Amino acid sequence: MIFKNITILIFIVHAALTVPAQEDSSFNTTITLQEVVVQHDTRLLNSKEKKHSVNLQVSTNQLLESIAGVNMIRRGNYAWEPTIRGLNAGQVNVTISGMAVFGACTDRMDPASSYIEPNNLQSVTVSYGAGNQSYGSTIGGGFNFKLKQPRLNDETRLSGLAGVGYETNANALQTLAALEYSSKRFAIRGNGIFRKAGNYNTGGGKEMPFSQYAKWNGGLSAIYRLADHHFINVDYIQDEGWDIGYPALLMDVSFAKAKIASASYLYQPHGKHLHSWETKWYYNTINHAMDDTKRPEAQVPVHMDMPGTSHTTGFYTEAQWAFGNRHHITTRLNGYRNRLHAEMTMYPDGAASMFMLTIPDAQRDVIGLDISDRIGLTPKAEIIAGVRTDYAGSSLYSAAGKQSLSGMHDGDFNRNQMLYNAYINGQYRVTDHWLLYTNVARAMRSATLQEMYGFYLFNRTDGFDYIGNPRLNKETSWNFGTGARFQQKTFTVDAQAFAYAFNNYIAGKPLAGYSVMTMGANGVKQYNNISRAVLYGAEATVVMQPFSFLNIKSSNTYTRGRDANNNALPLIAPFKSANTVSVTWKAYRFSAASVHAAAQHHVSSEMYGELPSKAYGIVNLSAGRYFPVKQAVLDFNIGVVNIFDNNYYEHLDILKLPRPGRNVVMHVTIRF
Amino acid sequence: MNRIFSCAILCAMVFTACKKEAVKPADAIINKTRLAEATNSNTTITLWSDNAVLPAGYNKLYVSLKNNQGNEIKNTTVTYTSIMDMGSMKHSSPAEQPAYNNELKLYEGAIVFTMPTSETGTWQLNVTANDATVSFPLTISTPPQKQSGTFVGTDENKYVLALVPPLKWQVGLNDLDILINRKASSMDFPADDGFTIELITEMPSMGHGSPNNSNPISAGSGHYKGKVNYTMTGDWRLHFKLKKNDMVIVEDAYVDILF
Repeated sequence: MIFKNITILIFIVHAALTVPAQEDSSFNTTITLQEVVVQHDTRLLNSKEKKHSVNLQVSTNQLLESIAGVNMIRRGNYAWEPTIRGLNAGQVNVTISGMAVFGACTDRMDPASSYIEPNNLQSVTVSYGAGNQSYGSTIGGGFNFKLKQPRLNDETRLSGLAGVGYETNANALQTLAALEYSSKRFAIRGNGIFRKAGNYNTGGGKEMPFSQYAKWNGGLSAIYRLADHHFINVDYIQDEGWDIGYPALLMDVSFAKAKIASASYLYQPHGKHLHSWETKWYYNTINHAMDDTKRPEAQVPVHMDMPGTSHTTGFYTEAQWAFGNRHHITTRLNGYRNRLHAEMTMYPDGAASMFMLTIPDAQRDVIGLDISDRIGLTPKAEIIAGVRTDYAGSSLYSAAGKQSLSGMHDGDFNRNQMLYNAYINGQYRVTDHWLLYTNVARAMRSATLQEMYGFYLFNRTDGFDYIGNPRLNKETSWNFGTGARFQQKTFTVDAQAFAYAFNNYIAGKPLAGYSVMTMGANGVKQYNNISRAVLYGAEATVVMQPFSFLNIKSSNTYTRGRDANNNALPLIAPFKSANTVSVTWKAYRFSAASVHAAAQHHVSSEMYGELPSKAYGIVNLSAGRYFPVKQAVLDFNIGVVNIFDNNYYEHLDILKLPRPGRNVVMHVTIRF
Repeated sequence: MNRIFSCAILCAMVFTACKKEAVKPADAIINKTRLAEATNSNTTITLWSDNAVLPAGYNKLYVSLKNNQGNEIKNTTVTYTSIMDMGSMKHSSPAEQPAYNNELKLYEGAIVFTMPTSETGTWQLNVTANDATVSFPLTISTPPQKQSGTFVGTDENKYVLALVPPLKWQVGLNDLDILINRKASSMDFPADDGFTIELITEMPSMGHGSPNNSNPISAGSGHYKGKVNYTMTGDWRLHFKLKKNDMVIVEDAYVDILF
């Protein structure tokens, strides 16, 4: 692949049982990007990597949380919402193999990442800021979940895996399987997983009510070679969750369903200039329903139904070009239409039912062109420069939706915006050991449809009902980052600092004279642009491997943000340090990990409704071994998460609900 | 044979059609509900309404007039007087006197019925035209929601406030029209244009209101027009604070809405 050497490959085993990351040996890259590779097939991997064969069994939540700079907003034990360096929601893009997918829930219960399982995935690419890995204009970067595709193979063969996992806390059970058929012209892969968990116990043994969940996920992917260099690929994923508790929110979820389908045509001439050209069409639909019928009466002053849907249809066409050794160009044209509908019906005792559109049939149309060039200046210096232009149209597609908002906003609801992103990343190899890198980006985004058209959406963090604002200006930022890496055989240290300067930062401002819709809410806010905000921080990673069997890794992150009025920005994690010592010996592996976070006192209760958070530290242990069994490999893993049963939460956890206490995790996987 | 038959049918249809047109009374095009008809001294008065059921509150009432030759009378003065007969006493209620509406081909007026028909009281409408008066007994039903009310002011006067239809509400911004009359005597309810009004909306079952309403302002003839913003369907209550010269006359004149 042309861009192979601009990604850092990190093989994640388990967030809480972190075995040291295995960095790719071609370690010569800018760090604006990280790729987490989900491990499927032991045969393709070297012996070192084979030891991490349980990693398929982690949840997407844990997989994302283990990435430096990524923190999760947690509303329960399911569907955590990822943030990158404190940026979240509309500030980061989430795509699945380049497909735009938007959750349907007005309370952010279903980020797009909740409809994907590691079993579906080849890898996750995380980008920090504008760059050519984002399929859209973005300020904070994003996640691209790359779906696992079956491989064509000269000799016909069948391969697969099956696994079962159990966790004592929450009595969680999962089973998963995958089967792949490969031949010279045709390959197909199917995969499925089922997960079910009860309520978990927090540290100290107290049960967390309404933290249960159940889901299944299935994927089907096929590739067919039409002719030399010509391929057709189809992907389909269906993900259905049900009976999902959200202890931090007022409601649970009766179901959350996604259907994600795509078909693409791939041309790989490997020619002198055109390297590959892929064109994809896709459609996805998400159907989500909140539910309060299982809550005790005291928690439900008024019973309500809150369903929502999200439909997205789109395409992209992406080509990779090479012009000599100096220019590697990627061009991409992509577009999509997303339609959101969300409604609420309340059933008060002894009065008529009440109906409203909470997202009044909002539509976003985007078409964008992205061109980037990786330029080798000298053997030691390289830059990646790119520009992206988007048209983003926002509108209401139904008469009922327009009528709903007629009493809230004057004039035309439609907004048409042009977005311009540009970025330049440079790196310079000073010596064999030293690498310096830096990046500058100009980024912008449109307000999300929720920020523009939301109708009394309740935010549990500050307890306010939020009203959208179709007049919002684009949020823009200048992103700067710079870092250095020192690398030798047994020791690697990588440190970088970043700063983002925002204009028209989007945040809620209290609206006087508006009465709240949600019973017990603190007031009503409307999204507005704040003139300026800044976000800055640093990340440092140290990896030591004094002996071939011993690996020590320390990953440390810090972020701080404030707005023009000197209020601390919300949802910013405090200093956090994850440290792991692991030993691999023959077929065995052991690891001990500790995760520490400092207290977060830099919060704005007044503006953003956040309260300070306490520091915490937990320790995790794990052990595993694998057995070759004829053509197959059987792998056992057992671990204890939070071994001291500490009662703790992270700053981004809504309502500061405690996380699970001690948890014994067992995984068995067989691959053939 | 077939062709002749078809021709015959076609001819029959044409003739029938012509015949109908010739005989059809002029009022056949009236798109209203016919309530009653009565004749007095050569004038036939037919009473029409928008709906068959007349709820307590503001009701549009229409009449058509014909002389004894069957010709429509368009250029006369028609007067409505509503009478509530409670046995021991009688009183009237606010009225908007009719005027001829060329589009409808009807005299169009309105009555605010201030209470429903009950065991203790019955309504009648006296229509006077061409020096002839006919009296129509009417049954006024209890509306599902309170569309009008009589409120005692701090100036000792009684005021009748009524929502003016059409009451076709939807979520979002709606036009609002109310009529206010002062009770000068039990038989005289002149329109009152002298108020400044504050509108406050409320959902009684939820305890919240809605933003961005426009206070009704006088549009003449007792009408006040404003805007009401409903954030959802359901039960709503509109509170009107009626003021004159910065003095609160009626603190809370309210009507109820359900949609």
